[in-house]
Amino acid sequence: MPADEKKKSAETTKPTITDEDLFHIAIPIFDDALFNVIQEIVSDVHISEKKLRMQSAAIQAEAVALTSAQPSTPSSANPSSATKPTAPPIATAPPAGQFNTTAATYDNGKVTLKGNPLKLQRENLCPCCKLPRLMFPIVGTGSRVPEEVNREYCKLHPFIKKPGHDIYGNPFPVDTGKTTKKEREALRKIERQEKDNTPGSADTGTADAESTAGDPGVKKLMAGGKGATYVPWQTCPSCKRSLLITKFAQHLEKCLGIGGRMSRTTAAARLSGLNGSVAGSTQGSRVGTPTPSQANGKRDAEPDSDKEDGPPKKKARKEKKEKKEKDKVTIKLFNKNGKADASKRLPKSSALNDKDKSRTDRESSQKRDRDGSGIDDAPAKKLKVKKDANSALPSITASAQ
Amino acid sequence: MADVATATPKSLTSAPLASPKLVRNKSTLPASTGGCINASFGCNHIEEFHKAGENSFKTLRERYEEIIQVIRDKHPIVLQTCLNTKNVAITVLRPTFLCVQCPFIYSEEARKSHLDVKKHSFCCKVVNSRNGTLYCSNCEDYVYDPLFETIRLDNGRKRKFDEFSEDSRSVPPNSTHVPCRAIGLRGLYNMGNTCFMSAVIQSLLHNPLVKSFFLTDGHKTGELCEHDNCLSCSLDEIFTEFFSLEKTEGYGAVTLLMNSWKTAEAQNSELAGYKQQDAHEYMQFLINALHVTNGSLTSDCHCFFHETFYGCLRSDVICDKCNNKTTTDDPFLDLSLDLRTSQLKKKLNGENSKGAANESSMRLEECLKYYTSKEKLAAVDYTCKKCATQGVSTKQFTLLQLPPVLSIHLKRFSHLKDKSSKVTTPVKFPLVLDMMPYTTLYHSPETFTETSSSTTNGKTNGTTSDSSTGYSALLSQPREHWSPKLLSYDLATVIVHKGEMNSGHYVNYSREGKQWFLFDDSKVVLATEAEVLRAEAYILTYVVSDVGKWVAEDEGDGDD
Repeated sequence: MPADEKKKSAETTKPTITDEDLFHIAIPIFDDALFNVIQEIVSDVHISEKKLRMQSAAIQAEAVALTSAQPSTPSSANPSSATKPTAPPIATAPPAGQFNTTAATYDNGKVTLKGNPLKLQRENLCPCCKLPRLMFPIVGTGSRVPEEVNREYCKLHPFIKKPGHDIYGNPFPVDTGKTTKKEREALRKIERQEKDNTPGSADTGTADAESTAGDPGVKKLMAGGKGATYVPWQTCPSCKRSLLITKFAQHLEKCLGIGGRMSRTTAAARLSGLNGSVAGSTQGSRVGTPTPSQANGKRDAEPDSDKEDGPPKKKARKEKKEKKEKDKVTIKLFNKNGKADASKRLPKSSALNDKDKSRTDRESSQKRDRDGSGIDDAPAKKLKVKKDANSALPSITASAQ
Repeated sequence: MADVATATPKSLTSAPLASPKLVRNKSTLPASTGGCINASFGCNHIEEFHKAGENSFKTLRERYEEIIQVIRDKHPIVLQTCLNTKNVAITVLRPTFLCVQCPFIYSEEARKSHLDVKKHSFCCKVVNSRNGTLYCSNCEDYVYDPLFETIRLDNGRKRKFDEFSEDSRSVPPNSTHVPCRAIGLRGLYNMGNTCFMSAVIQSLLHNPLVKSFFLTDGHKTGELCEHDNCLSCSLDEIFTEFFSLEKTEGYGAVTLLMNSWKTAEAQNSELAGYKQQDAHEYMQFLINALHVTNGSLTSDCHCFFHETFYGCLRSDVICDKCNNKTTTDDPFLDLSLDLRTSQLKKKLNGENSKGAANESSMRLEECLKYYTSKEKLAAVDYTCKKCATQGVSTKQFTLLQLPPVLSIHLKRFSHLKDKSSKVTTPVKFPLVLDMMPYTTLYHSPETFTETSSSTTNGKTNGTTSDSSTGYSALLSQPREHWSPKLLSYDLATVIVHKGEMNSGHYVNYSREGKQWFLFDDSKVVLATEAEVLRAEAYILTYVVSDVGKWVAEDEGDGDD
């Protein structure tokens, strides 16, 4: 770096240079270095901003051309319409003619600028969705309420900086397991209120209450992630059970039978009881695993709520299984989805607001469908079990769904 | 590198994943005819120049290309020497301006008078960062013409695949619109002690090279993949999810976890199981697994991961008695730098007297310097093959080949005989790291002049001898004239370990473009450069600054 070189040369010839000289040299060097740093930062912003404006001007001019020319070129129809051609469309010819906007001129597919786009082009348009970009974050540091709240903006918003919230303005997930019942109810109340305030649009999401309550328009613009209480459920790819994502690793260890303390055999034993429902697809090695005598001690090591579905004794279970396998399966799954776990998980799920819940359900059922498509008959049975649960225990299912 | 991968046709294949919301976003504006339209010229003056004559425009373009090459190759001192208003050559620190229409360099003040007198409209600007943007005197502003910007961003190299530009125009109308928000900024849920995994996955997700590998269908998933419990497929799934859906909440990387455990268990690795793990260990494991699932198992593997992450470390041992040199080259996946010994050594040797002022903190460059410095081996440790005696010898590590993605692991967990502890020494690391001083090339250039055909360019078999920027050309210059840009690396990711030796939490700082983000499991927040540089780093990932250079010198097996 030249700055260093100057300094170095100053050092090497030090005997002839007084401190005062050095002082006079050092300050301009520092000034220049600072100037360059600032220049570089400004230049970077200038480059990105001006390029965006240039492109926006072009997009706008093209849009004007397309709108004016649309009647004559119906082929450039909105791709969202159902009439998407089966054969891949060839790039349609650009509309002919000359069109003007404030910043640019469109002339037979080519766009030229009229002047400096930073002066002439007022807003940035997204090159992908062609919608205007928000220029400021809607909440948090440096936020501004957009001039036209009801306009549709590009979904890529400026990132939000707000304590306790992510870059999309969604509050951090909170561990509902640790909150008290009162707190959960309060949360639920807030979320319900919010929901009432936002009519329609299912995906405006749960914006946080305090900051946006005053401005429904801003809320509408929010990214629409999951609420604070949202902790997703996940279907285990191995055994197809549905469980909280935060407990997944713990479950998977047992499910795969990894890590000491005979967990593999324990898991195998437990899962063998499920053979009827999880039709062999995941068992693989486990089916053939010779099950040595299951001492009760092993099961004691297991903390989970498997007391009911775990095999009390191998022999007894086998007999039962032969006798009334179907019943057993139903009871088992019923226990899993309903009673046994409901007692544990009910508080968490009840803390979800209605909207989230319905979405969770929808999603989880979608996931199940997707996952289940690979295996033979598991999904059908699961559905059946669900129905059973509904009829048998209306009180629980009502709060869980 | 492009900031955002916009339309990735790949995501279309995952039909069930595609959100139904995509369609609704289709704007009130009619669909574009295809591609992203842009203004044809940077300003109306360039347009006029273009209209005025094909030839003069061609000259302008060629001249600009030349200037960009000069900016790329010449020493800064050349570029910073310019004419001032009195037409006297001076050397300045501030930006200088290279005129595109005449062969002079002007200072900022002289630029104005020059343009007024000569009626030259364009000046190519040069600043210390050497960004080479074009200044239009009529606009009195910098202009970013699509054509000139392409030249500038390609660093004056000729584009190889220009002929595909026609094709690229027909891609957008034939592909599904990827939501604008799907730019991969999502968290990963902690599934129970899996923060080590989240931190490592995020570093891969925000690695521009890995990203382009997966988003260009680098790994064939589904039925095309013949590996069981394939980790590449699992990672591909996450890439698809992150870069094609509009979701903002976290993601549960269940298949990756399951396949990691299954693979780890098959290797009898400690990594499988529900407990806290070492992120460094997991990173090595994961990259190795990715390499296995994408390449061959032969020794000369040229898979993407091998070429991207693996470098080569040379160790020279010189016997003090007979001066016999034994050289061994070993591949490395990351550099594990010692934090404690170097401190001790500094005290013991007293070689670094100026560092004495601040003993408690270290600089990354110091760690690297120590790593590649000469080290005395005790007599018991080494037996010379030539003189067949046990004697004192000198050992030195140097970097023979540098990978495009350089991972640096700081040994924060020390296991001594009596106790294990966490080293909390703060390490200062730079945003841009020059790796040249640690290379074999730098330490013993003579080995390269001798065998110029050997692996010299840091990546693979050197085809550099004929290249103008080749190392043979470089070696002809004195070492102090080597440009610092030759082997500069940009900081891409910092993995931080918080907490104690046996329990703690991993977070990840990663960069998208110029913006830093903090990934803390499912939480994603903005981070500042200062915050990143203050972090107590555990693993640092540096990505080579000028990828184009590597591609240009290694045209044979470009991945995309």
